[in-house]
Amino acid sequence: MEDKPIHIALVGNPNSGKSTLFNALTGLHQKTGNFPGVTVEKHTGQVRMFHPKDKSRRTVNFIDLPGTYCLFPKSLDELETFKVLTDHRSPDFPDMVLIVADASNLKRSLLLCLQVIDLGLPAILAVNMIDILERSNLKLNTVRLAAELGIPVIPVNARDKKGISEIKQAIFQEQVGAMKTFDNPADYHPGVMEKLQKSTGISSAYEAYLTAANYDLLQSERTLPDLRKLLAEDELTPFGLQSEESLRRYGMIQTILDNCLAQVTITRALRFSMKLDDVFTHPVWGFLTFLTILFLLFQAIFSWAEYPMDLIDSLFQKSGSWIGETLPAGKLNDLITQGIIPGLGGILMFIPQIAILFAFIAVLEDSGYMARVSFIMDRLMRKFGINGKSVIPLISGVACAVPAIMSARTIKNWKERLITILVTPLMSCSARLPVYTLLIAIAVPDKHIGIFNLKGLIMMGLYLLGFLAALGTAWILKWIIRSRERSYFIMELPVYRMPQWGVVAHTMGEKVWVFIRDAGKVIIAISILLWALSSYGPGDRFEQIEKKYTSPVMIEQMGEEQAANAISSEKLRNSYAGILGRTIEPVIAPLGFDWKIGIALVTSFAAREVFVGTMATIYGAGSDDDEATLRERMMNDTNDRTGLPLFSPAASIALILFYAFAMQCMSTIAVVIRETGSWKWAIAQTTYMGVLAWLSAFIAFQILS
Amino acid sequence: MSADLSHVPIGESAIIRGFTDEEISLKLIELGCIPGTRITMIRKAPLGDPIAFACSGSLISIRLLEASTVLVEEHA
Repeated sequence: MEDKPIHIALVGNPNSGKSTLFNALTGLHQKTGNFPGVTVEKHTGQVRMFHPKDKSRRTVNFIDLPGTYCLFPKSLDELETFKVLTDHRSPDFPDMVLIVADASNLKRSLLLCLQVIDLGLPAILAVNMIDILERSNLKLNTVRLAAELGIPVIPVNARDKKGISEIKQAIFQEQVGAMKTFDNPADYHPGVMEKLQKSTGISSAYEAYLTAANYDLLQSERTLPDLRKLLAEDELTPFGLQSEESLRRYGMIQTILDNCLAQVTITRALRFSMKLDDVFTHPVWGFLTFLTILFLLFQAIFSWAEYPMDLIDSLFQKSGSWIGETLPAGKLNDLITQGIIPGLGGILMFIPQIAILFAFIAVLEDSGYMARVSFIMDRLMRKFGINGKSVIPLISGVACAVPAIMSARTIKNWKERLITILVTPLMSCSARLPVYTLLIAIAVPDKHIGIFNLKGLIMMGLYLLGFLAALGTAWILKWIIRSRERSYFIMELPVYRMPQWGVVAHTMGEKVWVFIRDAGKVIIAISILLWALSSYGPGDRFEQIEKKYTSPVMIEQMGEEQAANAISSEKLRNSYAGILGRTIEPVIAPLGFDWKIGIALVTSFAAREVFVGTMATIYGAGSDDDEATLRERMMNDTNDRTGLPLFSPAASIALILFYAFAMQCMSTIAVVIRETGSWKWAIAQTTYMGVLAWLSAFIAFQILS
Repeated sequence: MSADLSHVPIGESAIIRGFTDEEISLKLIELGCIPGTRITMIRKAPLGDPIAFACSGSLISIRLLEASTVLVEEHA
C-alpha cells in the first residue's frame, strides 16, 4: 500500500477542457486545442503528492482519456475510454475517475457523469469554465449538486488553474456514505439482466447492460456470447438499450439541474444601478434629487436661455427694420415687417428654451433617470387618471406646452396620454410670465409678508394654481374619457449609464425642427391674419384718422410723437380687431373688462405674450420696453362703460386668472391637433379652458369688486 | 408555496409559474419574464406602489395590481 500508485482517469465530453486540466494537474504540456477529439489515445502523467492526513508521499497516475459523450462508444477513441473504465484486470484500471464537466453544457456532461457513478467507481466532478455560466446569468450551486450526485463537485477554471488544489485534496478524501445509484437496469428488465449477467460473467448489472448495448463494437475485441440474439428474445436491441437509458437519465438530470442551477436575477451591472436607486428612489432623497433636478431645469430654461433668446429677438427686430427701410413702403412692406417677421421672431425666439428643455430631457432619459421619476411618481399621478410618465410633460409645460405635449409620446396608454395632452397647457408656461409680471405690478401692492415679497408670492401662487388646475382637470377627465384600453406600468428600469451625447444632440435637433416646422406654419398664418385685422378697418375710417391727426394744427397741439401714438391707438380702435373687441365686450363685461382688453384677448389668441404688445399699442406707449409708462397709463385708464378705473385690483386679478386658464396659444392648438390626430380634442380643450377662464375670472371679479 | 408576485417580500426570490391575465402576461413575456424564470424582489416605490423586481439582469417595475396577476412559487 505504501507507494502503490493511485490511478485516476480523466473523462469528459470532447472539448470540455479535460486536457487543459490534465496539464494543470500534472505539469505536462499535453497538446490542447479548441476542437473536439484532440486526445485520440490515452496519455498518462505521474505526480508525487502529499497525502494531506499522514503527510506521506503518494504517486498519483493521471490518465487522460479520449473525450466521449457517454459510455456508448461510437468510434474507436471513444471505445478506448470505455475499455479503460471497464477493464478491471488492467494494471491501469482507475481507482478513481475525475469527470470533467463543461459548465456551458451541463446536461450532456452530467449524462456521462451519472453513467460513471453507476459503474460504481469512486468519482470527483470538476465543473470547468464556470465563468461562462455567469455570462448567461446562471449560477451553479455546487454544494447542492455534490449532495445530489453523492460525489465531490469542484468548480475549476483549468486555464488559470483555479480549483486545482481543491481537486488534489478531494483525491484523498474518503467517500462519505454509500455511493448513489441513479439508474439500475435490473429495475426495468429483471429477467434480461439476469440472463445477461450469467452469460457474460459480469457481476455488475450496469456493466453487463453496457456490454450488451455496446455489443457491436465489443464483439471484435472480446469473446462474447451472441448478446444481440439474447436481447432479441425479449424484443430488445443494443440501440434500444442506449436510447431508453439516455432518456431516463436526462429526465433525472433535469430534476437535478432544476435544483442546482439558479438563474441569476441580479447581475453586477444591475447591482451598481441598485445602489444609485437607493438614493434616487428613496422616500426622502429620491424626491429631493428630483426637486433639485427640476430646479436646475427651470434655472436652465429661464436664465441660460435668456441670452440667446434676446439675441434672436434683436436679430429679428434689426432685420425687420432693415427690410422695412430697404423695401419700398407699402402694403407688402407692412405685411413683412409687421406681420411675418414679428410672427416668425415670436416663435423662433423659443428655440433656445425648447433646445435646452429637450437636451435636458434627453439626458435624463438616456441616463436611465427618467424611468425612476415615473417610478416614484406613478402612485400619485394615477389618482388623477394619468401615470408616472405624465410627470415630464407636466413639468416641461412650465417652459412651453408645445414641446411638453410632444414629450407625452412616451405614454403608451392612449387615455393617459390624451389626458396629459389636454391638461398640460394649464401649467403656467413662460409666455404667461410677461403678462403676469405686468398685471401683478398693477394689481398687487408692494407689500412684504414676513421676508417674502407679496408680488413674488402671488407669482409662485400662479404656478401652483396652474399645477393644481392641471391635476384637477385630469381628475375630472379621468371620469369623462372612456377607454377600454387598460393602463399599465410594466416597464424596464434601465441600468444607469452615461448619456450618449450624439443621441442627445440628435433628439434636441429633431424636436427643435418639428417645433419650427409644425407650430411655425400655424403661427405665421395667424400672425398674418392678426396683422391684417389690426391694420385694416372698414370703409375709409383709417384715412379719416390720418387726416385728423396729421393736420398741422393737431401736430402743433400734441407734438409729433404724441400725434403718431394717437393715430395708431385710434386706428386700432377702428380696425377689424378693434371692432371685434367691441363686439365681444358684452361677453367680457361681467369680468370687468372693456373693449380694449377685448382686443388684447383677441390678439393674444395667437400667443399670450402678445398681450403686452397690444396694450402698448392701445395705450400709445410707443415701444413696449417702456413698461413703467405703460403701467401708469393703464392704471390711470377708466372703463368706458362704468367710469371706474379699468385696471382695478378686481379686474386685474380676473384678467390674470383668465390668462392662467384660457387656451391662448395657436402653437399649442396646432400641436394638439397633430398629436391627437384630430381637431376634435383641440376644440374641446380650447372650449373647456375658455369656460374655465371665463368662470374663474367672473367669480373673482364679482367677489373682489 | 404558491403566491402572487405582489406578495414576494423585498430581497426574496421566487419563480414565475403562470399568469392570470393575458394582456399583462404578454407585456412581461416581451421583457423576458416567462414561466420558470427566477425573479428577485428589489424595492417598492416611496409610496408603496409600484414595485420593482430583478429578472435575468434587468430591473422591471410593475404596479401591485398588475403583479397580483403573476403566479409565483416562493422559496425557490
